[in-house]
Amino acid sequence: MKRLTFLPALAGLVFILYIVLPVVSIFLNINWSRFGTTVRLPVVLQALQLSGLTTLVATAVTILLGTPLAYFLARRSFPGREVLDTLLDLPLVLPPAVAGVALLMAFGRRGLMGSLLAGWGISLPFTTVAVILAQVFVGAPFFLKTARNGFAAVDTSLEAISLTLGKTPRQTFFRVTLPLAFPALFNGAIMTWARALGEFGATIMFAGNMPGITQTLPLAIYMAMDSNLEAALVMAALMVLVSFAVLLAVKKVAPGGDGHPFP
Amino acid sequence: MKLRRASILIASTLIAALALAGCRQAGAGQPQLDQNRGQQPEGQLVVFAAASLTDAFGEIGRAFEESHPGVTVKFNFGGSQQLRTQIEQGMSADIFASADQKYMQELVDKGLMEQPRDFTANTLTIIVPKNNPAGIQSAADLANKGKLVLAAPDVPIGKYSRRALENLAALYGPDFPKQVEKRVVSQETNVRQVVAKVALGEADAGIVYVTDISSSYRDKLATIPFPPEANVRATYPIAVVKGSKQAGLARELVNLILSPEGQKILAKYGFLPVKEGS
Amino acid sequence: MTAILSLNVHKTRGDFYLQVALTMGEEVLVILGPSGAGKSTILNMIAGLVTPDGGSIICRDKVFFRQERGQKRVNLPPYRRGTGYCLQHPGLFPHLDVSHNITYGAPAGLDPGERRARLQELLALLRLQGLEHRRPRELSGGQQQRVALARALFSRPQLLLLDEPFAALDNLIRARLRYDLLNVRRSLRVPMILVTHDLEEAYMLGDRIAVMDNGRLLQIGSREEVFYHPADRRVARFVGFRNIWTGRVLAADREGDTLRVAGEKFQAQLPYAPLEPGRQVVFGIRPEDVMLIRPGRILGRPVRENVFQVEVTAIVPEVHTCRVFLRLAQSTAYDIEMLLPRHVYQREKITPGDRIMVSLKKEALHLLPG
Repeated sequence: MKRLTFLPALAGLVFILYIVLPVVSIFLNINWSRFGTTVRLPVVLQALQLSGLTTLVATAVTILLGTPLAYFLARRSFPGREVLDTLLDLPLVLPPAVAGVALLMAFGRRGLMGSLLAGWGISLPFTTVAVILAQVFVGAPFFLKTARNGFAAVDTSLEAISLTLGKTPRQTFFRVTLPLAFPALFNGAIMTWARALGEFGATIMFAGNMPGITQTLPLAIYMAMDSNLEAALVMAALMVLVSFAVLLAVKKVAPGGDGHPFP
Repeated sequence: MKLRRASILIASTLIAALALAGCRQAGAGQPQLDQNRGQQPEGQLVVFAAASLTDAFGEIGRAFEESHPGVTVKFNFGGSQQLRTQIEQGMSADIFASADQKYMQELVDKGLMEQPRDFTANTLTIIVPKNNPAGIQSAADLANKGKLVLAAPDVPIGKYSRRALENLAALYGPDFPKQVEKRVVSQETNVRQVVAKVALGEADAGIVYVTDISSSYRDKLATIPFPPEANVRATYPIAVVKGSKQAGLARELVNLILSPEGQKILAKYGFLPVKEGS
Repeated sequence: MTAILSLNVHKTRGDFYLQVALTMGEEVLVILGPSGAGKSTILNMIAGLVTPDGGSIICRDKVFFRQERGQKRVNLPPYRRGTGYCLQHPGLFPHLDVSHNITYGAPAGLDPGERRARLQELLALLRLQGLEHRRPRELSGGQQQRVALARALFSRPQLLLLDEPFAALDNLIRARLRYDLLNVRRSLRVPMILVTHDLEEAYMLGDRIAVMDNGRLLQIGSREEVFYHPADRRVARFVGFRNIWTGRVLAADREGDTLRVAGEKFQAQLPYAPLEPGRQVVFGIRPEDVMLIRPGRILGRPVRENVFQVEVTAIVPEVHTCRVFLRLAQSTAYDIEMLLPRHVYQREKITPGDRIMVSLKKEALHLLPG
């Protein structure tokens, strides 16, 4: 009988090692005495700044535009809703390269939308805006999906009761629906942010690679691999730390998913 | 109990698979090359080559396979600086063909290479989209028209492009390189990405090897030659990787590349001949 | 009676057609009917959550809804109607504590002192003191329903709408809550519409009762009218007339205040009605109005009529009462259902097969139109 519990335990241990080992290796290979100087390299600082800025903007844009849509999808049924739902989920499964090509075809200078914008003298590729567009494209579905489920889980009779208590639909949304769906929205926003932070393929294809303008952390790490491994490791370590801290914080702050958002 | 046994079986299979994979992928990295380790057949050569060689080496590889039945040649094309890093990190290769002397020299200095030989040369050209939206007519226009994409400074073509711009300073004034650099909107990871960005019309101009416009984007591009006195001549070194299990076969392939037959194929794609040792 | 609400609406949904017209004053109106009758739809229309296809809803001179030929269309949104609404499911806001749930509907400019005073008043009225800071999850079902009631009452609604608010609660708590509701009615004087399918609840709380079935109003009237003079056979069945028979008028005697009717198995005397002899009629009696006549008792006049000898076929004990099924001679099934108070049943020790005497009290026998 002992073997029966031993083997699964071993399997679990192997799996944990498999995840932990590469992450730890990053930290073991860093020359900590030079850490301070490496972090202050322009290429590192610029990438940190740019990633911080673009991911925050991308997440904010997603929340602003995505929240009404998620609410709409959760509350209304209309012909073709399934199709629309699926379309909006699509970036979840598309390889980043497909996202990059798609964005170029749409917002590139000769793209559907891009050629229109070009008429007004606006060109998106190779700009920080393009970085944000790429991040929103690949990250937004996470928010939309969780927010939609969060809104759908709010009992509509609570909203109806709020209306009969003299609150307008707007007041009802902000005082009942939003607070009740908040844990889901928060989780969705964090997932979108994390996905935006890691975005690489669509960015390098659509926004290019320019330090300070479009070179986000993942791109900087990729480029530094060939020229300055030290810097690549330091940036990788920073990403690991930030991601870990955020994921842990989310678990502590918003228990969400367990069905009791208000203990 | 039956279920339990089945799950143990699955678990142990998984562990075994993981352990095996762990041994085989010690170097990690490019998955398409993983199969080459351990089960490399007698007649398989792995060639790491600069991205600019993609089309020419493809044809040479087919010629080599025809004259050596049972032998297959696998290529890993990329930026020379990436290939250098991969070889350094222990990925298995039999031959390395670099677009840049520097990266070859670094590997030679580390004792990873046999004696390199220059096998071909390349020069640079300016490319613009066929309809030339920014109206770039000459190298001088790079300082004041349109959006430019170059390869990153660590990529050989990126380095050569900047050297060519420095050379142009003699013609257009000392500020010329700086002015051009201001118009750069992206630093691509290899020369093929530069070609793609210009061919798609996202950028107005780029600097690439003359050989690169022979790709599938040819009909979407127009070229503007550099003034001959400013152009850069890049010589490509090639060498067999030390400790190659196929060293004999590898040397045969290098000889084919250096032979008139190989040089003819390279010339077809726009490469220039070199005198050995130049 | 000043009209608090006057309603005349119709709506089609699939093959269900609802058409109802009613008015109500300062009172508790109970809408009684089986599930699916359209009772809740009426409440939703008044609250503004469901839009009628046409008609009008007017509450104290305020037009809630109007869609009639030649009139400008009005459809006031729910939040401007000022009705309080309680559902079977209390629907408390889970993210707010008890006092914030109750004060949720407070109008923007409400004076804080007034706000506190009203809150305290409602907490006291609905026995919620000490629970102010509890979350809904920490309350029992009855407590939750009382909070919901307090919340609906906080903004002094024009009209309180109650949709089976006690249906999900167990009997004891339900009884307490009915009592609470009577208290609320007495101290706040708010008119109410209560939807229920519970006869006892309807009788206890309703000043007037409207009986609905299949989208139509069958009868509206005082509880005595509805319970003892049902408008037709369907209402009679619904309000608990278990004994309904058809017969033919034999004679109508105005002086003696009798209407003699020949049923299929017996003759009976009813209170006078101006009907031609030979006319086909439907008449009935509530089981609690069937009297057991103890052997040897001298019969008073009102009981003397309509006395029958019957055989007990079955006895079904209930909590406070006992249901006895009786058969006239030469019948196969039972003919009369009688409801005896528990103590009477215990005293008389009736068993199936016994032959007993019963009287169908004349005043309790009702002619049912149609």
